[in-house]
Amino acid sequence: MTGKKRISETAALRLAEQIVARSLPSGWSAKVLQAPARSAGSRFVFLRIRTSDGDSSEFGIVAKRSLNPMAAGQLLDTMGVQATTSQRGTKPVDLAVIAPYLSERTRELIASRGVSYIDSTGNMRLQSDKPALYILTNGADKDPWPDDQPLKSLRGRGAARALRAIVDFRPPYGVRELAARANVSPATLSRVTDLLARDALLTRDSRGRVNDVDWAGCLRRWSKDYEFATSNQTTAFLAPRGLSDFTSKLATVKWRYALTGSLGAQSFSPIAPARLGMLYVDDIETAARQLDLREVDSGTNVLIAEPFDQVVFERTTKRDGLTLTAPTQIVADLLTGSGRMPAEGEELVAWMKDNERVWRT
Amino acid sequence: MSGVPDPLYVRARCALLDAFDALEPHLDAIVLVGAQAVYLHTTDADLAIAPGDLADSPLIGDALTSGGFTPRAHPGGWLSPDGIYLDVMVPDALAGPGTRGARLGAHGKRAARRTKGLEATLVDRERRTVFALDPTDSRAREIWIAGPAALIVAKLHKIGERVGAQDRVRDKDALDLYRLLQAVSTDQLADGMRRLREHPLSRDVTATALVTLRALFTRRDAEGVEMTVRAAGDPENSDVMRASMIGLATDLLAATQE
Repeated sequence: MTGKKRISETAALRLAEQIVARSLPSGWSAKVLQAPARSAGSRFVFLRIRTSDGDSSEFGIVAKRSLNPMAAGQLLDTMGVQATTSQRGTKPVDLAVIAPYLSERTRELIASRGVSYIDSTGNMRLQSDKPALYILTNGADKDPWPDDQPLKSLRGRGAARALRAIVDFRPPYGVRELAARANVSPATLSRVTDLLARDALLTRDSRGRVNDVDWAGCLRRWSKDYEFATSNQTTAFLAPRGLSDFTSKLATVKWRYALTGSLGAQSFSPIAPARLGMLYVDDIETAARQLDLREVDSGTNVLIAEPFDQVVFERTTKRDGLTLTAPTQIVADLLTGSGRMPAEGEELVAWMKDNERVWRT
Repeated sequence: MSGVPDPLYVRARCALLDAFDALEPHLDAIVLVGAQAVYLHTTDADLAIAPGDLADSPLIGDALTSGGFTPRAHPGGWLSPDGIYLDVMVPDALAGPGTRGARLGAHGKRAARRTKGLEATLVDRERRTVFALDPTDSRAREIWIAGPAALIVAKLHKIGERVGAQDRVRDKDALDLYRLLQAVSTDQLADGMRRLREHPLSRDVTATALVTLRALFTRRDAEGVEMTVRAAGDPENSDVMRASMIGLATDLLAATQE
């Protein structure tokens, strides 16, 4: 089934009904029913099991298209609340999780909470007291639909961290090897690599090793999903003594920071004097106090950011006594900036193309 | 400053050293205002004279003339052989009666011009060595230069005297004031202002200067703020300049409150 699209929740419900029915003693029946819930627009889904004597038992169903162990834990917490507030008064409802596939770890976690589950490959644990019922069957050990949800954007923090690794390190490299070197999740790195390969921004050999990366194209692609001002937590300030005084003060601070934007770019390639200082710090308040920055209604010349990820403090350079974030980060921050910053970003890209040995690890 | 200095600064510095050579017997009575050497690069040389410290001879006019300087139309205005302006001034409070020329006894009333606000430069001042900028010129002079608080008081008087005049020279004074406020820490300026307010010679002019600072530089639509922005001629940066000027002026006023 690999390569096919993961089945829907509705299909998983239909399959679950059949799987349960096949496992029941003769004369018993299983049916998935839907009833309107009290709140408008939502519905309760039930699995009703009827014995040959006419007794019946109902399981409240939660259907999921996919469920990893962490999500399962969170879900069960929510379901616990639902059980005590159900229509059935004081008697807790028997609950069952239904999904196309549940991994062994997810199944263990669900079972440990006394909840039933049914996946479409035949992994099932169904338990109720009245009528007395206990069914345990095994289905697939591996997800038949791995990686069925390709990454669509580079918006997330993990994706951004992975992208920085891909552009900062010089290929060839394997995904695991790069994941270890850059301290990135291999799964995320793999998904980002897939996305960039689909966009023809990198190529892989037959064994999946990345052998060529269009790093400038990757940075432009990233800048569609990332934006300095919104992806980071930013505050605008006035440095009333100007940017040269701002950088002199910065050169003396004891805390961690990384300069980006035009001030960072001008250390690599000559551009017109910077108008706006852009700085990553761990704590905006401390930075504003120690750098004598003011909050004003209009006329700001410094943007201080608490970063989307610690990666902005990694692979930094020291120039003229100042710590600069990696040039790849500076490019992304400039490309997503205002005024003439995008043009400065392209100028820095041009410099980086001529000086790849200087900046690329 | 880095690299090779602007040729105009080299010439201006040379003219300044020529003037010191000519006025050597009077150097203890002279304070360099504008502080070319330290805070700003200006091309005109302004000298403040303390009349009480002035020797009777040589006469200032004779000394400058024999040094190659020629007098200009207004009292205290001189031109170096190389075409650099030199202004010799006396603080108004020490200049005797009259409206333009300072009464300097034997030195006459044309050698120096009376100027209000310069009183502060005789109080807030320090010894500095001024070197030639031309590598072939080995001259160096230890002289008095006005401290930054005194410069600010002097600038504010120049600005305040001609409010509403819409003249570009005055605009430039506002920009100089802005750069001084940016370059020198508020604490250092406030210290200077305190000393100036305690001294009888500079008390009144300092109080007036601080009133001017508040009136012209602490609101977005105030005239001094407009002058600064106009002089910079950088519309893209005008909001930052306005906010910075107001912030620094307000800081200084707050720090000088008793």
